[in-house]
Amino acid sequence: MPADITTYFDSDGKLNNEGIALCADALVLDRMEELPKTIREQLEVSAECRKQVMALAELLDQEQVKAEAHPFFDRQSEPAGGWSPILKIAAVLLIGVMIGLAVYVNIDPGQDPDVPPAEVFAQNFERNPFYDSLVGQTLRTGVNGVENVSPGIDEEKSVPVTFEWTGMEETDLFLQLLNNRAELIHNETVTGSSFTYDGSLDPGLYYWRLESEDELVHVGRFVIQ
Amino acid sequence: MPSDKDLLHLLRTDAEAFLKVSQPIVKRVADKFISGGYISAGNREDLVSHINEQLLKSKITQMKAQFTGGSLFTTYFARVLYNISIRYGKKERRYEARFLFDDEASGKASAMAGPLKQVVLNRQKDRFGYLLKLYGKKEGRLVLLLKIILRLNLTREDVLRAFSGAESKEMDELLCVLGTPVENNPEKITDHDLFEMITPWFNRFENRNNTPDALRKWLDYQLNELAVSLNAPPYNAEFDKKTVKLLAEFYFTSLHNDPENESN
Repeated sequence: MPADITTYFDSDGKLNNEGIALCADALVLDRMEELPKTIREQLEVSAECRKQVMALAELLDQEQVKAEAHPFFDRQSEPAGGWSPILKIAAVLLIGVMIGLAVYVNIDPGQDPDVPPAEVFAQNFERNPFYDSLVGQTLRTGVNGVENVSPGIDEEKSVPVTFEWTGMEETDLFLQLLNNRAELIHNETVTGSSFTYDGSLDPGLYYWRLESEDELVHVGRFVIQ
Repeated sequence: MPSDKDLLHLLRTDAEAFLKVSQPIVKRVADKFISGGYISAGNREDLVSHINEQLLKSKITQMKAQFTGGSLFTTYFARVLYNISIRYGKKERRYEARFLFDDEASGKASAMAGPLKQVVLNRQKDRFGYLLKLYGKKEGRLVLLLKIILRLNLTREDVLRAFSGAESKEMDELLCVLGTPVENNPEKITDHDLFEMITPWFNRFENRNNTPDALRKWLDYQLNELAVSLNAPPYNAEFDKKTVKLLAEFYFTSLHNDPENESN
């Protein structure tokens, strides 16, 4: 099993051969909704990915794909059946020992939730390969796009964050603010050329995207320190 | 055929045996490129040899190093073969015969066509179904718009797939607004009229304020993209927006005539 979602993307943030293969499996198995969200989003915005996945799916022997235990989709059922009784007892004992230790050293349950552990804190600044591939590109086809976009790429900001652009002022644009795990934080329909978000944002890397009715217009990335 | 795990084990332990037992997969991929028209039938053996050469030369080593077990290995292997075949096709292809999907090839004529033609039509229909599924959250919206523009009968299910929050009363109103004039005057209702009729409903369901032209352009864009995907290797086809609509009609009509597939 791959360690994480980045296994399915290449350095440009596009689905690699294994990512395309996983999607083709999902298509044949009719398990598209079980794909990781980041991959589903990639498929939704990328006609090229849809083309590649469809082309691969039709090369496959459907009966064979359906007959195999799948390394991704069927992975959760494996440990339950695969653990021996000895391992199960060992796991229960280990959990018991850990609980005992926790009581013994009196771990403070009231840790300040606003101060994340260092590791989690660092994870908030990791780049998202999918959105990274779109950052800074001129995505809208045709002559009318957006320009003079703010925040600039990797600009350090603090709350409230004002998003600004020129061009397409007359068009309804849908602004989405996402964290680096591609989780939607805020969604807004904007008519004009700016929007100010005054909600709370933890320190980390954030992405924002502008979408018109027809297509993706812009993807940006900024940092909250 | 060996199982997926057996094939992967062979890849890692015995390249020669791997090459031998994987020949059915190599030949199946080559045959798809031949039957799809991307590579001429006369080049079949040359293509198979080229694939095997590439596997021995570098691809087996690369697969060993790069495959992490995140998908079925057989699928990943087919993807590698697909890439090799495309490169071969680009270099060697002189074959100009193309698959044309036109009025004659559409569903209305297929009943009279021979079994081979029916097989080809069904393959195109399956490809179209795959593409729709790949739209994810936007599949319902696309299907609804296609059915509207094709003047096909709509159901509440169609509306719900596009707008999961739609209420029964609103759905019935939309179906009524669309149903009566289109059924009574199918030839007189233009696409322009249809987009004028449906845009207020789409805006209501989606909480947006789009123009009919914006909705029309969105569908137009998707039709173009569908055509590009349908023309991609292993096919050598010439779909355009008009013929994609014909295929869509064939697809939806086939689903309607085969209720077991209606949920797909």
